[in-house]
Amino acid sequence: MPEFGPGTAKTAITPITVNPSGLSCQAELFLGPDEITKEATSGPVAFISTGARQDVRLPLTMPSDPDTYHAYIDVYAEGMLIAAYQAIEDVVIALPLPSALLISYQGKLAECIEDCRLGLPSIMLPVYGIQNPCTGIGLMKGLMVDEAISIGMIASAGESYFVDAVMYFTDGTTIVPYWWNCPYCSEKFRSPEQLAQHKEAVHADILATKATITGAGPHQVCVDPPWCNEWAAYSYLVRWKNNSPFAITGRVSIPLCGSVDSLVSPGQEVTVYLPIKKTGHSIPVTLTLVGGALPGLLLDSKSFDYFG
Amino acid sequence: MDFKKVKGNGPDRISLEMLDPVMLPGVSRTAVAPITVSPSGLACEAELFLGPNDATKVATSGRKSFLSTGTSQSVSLPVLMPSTGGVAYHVYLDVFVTGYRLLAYQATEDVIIPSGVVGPIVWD
Repeated sequence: MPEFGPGTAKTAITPITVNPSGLSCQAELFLGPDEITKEATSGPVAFISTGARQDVRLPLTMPSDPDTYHAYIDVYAEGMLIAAYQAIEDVVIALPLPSALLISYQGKLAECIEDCRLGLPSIMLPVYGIQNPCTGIGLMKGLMVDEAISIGMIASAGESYFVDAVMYFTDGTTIVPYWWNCPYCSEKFRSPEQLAQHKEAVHADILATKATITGAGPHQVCVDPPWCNEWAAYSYLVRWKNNSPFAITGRVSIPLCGSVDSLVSPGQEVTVYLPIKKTGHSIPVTLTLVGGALPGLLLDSKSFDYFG
Repeated sequence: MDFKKVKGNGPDRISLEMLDPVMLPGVSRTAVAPITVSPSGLACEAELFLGPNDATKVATSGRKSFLSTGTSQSVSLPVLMPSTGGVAYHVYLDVFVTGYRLLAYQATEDVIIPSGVVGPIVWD
């Protein structure tokens, strides 16, 4: 039973024999729950009959919803349906399975994020990847993308980013570790609905208005730092606290140096001072709570003076 | 679809319009043939049939009776198309007068009964 990823483009090379030769023919391959409902179709592909077998290429973009679909082929000659076939085997659309290596990367990523949640000063979380100078994980994004390409989950890196341990790609590919819990419903990511809800939320947060999401909170957003070096990097998480619209905790962590908590309100600008270990200096970081629509709120870095 | 005269003493050529020379197997179609037999008042029959030659009738309308008028008459000749597809069949039209074959025509175009076969798909 052929299995493909959601939305992948495939071509069915279909041997078709139409007699007699010289007829204007069309063939259409389509997937669906029945022959009336076309969830995906090649559309009519024209060819001229030769009276012998012809390999007709029928390109098809697979459905986006994971499911099992019947496959049908209709052949027309001079506009008349002369052959209607249903494939013996159905087509299965399933979310791509990560490799063991990719799962291991995601596991490390999940551990790092959990460390960050616990306030441990050991993580830097830019939007487009992850770097952990303490554990030497390095640029996790590159490793994960390379692995995803190597196992055929994605064709190219393109634009991708991570939220929690979920990888998102602009081509629609989403890679979710199976043990990971949805931050909304605390259930395992097992259903497309859960994934869609999560994805919608983070897309709205990061890619759209930076202010409003329509999903239910709490959620968290990791923002790219403007600067880092081998001894200092930071990230901050924004999350709801007790479901209060004005109680939000911005946590700023400095690897090797500690962290500072600050309570801010929507639209409020707040400066936190981050001590740099062994130097006696503090780094003032001005954060602005942009937007304010509920429940999605996002802190935005306004200034970052390392030697102030 | 035009007919050429094979044998007989009727008009040199009878033109028979057929809009759809490609037919599906097993479908019922009616050919309307303009036939002129003179003089009027003769008991006539017409038969349209399909086959590889005029001796092998794969599908036929059977003999349809009409009375000659001395002018062109549109004679309806229903035919159940052959069930075997993938073949171009010759089309013949015979006209009988008082039991004797007067005209024998063959269409200049064949009737095509297409067939299609789909093999195993290979995904690329």
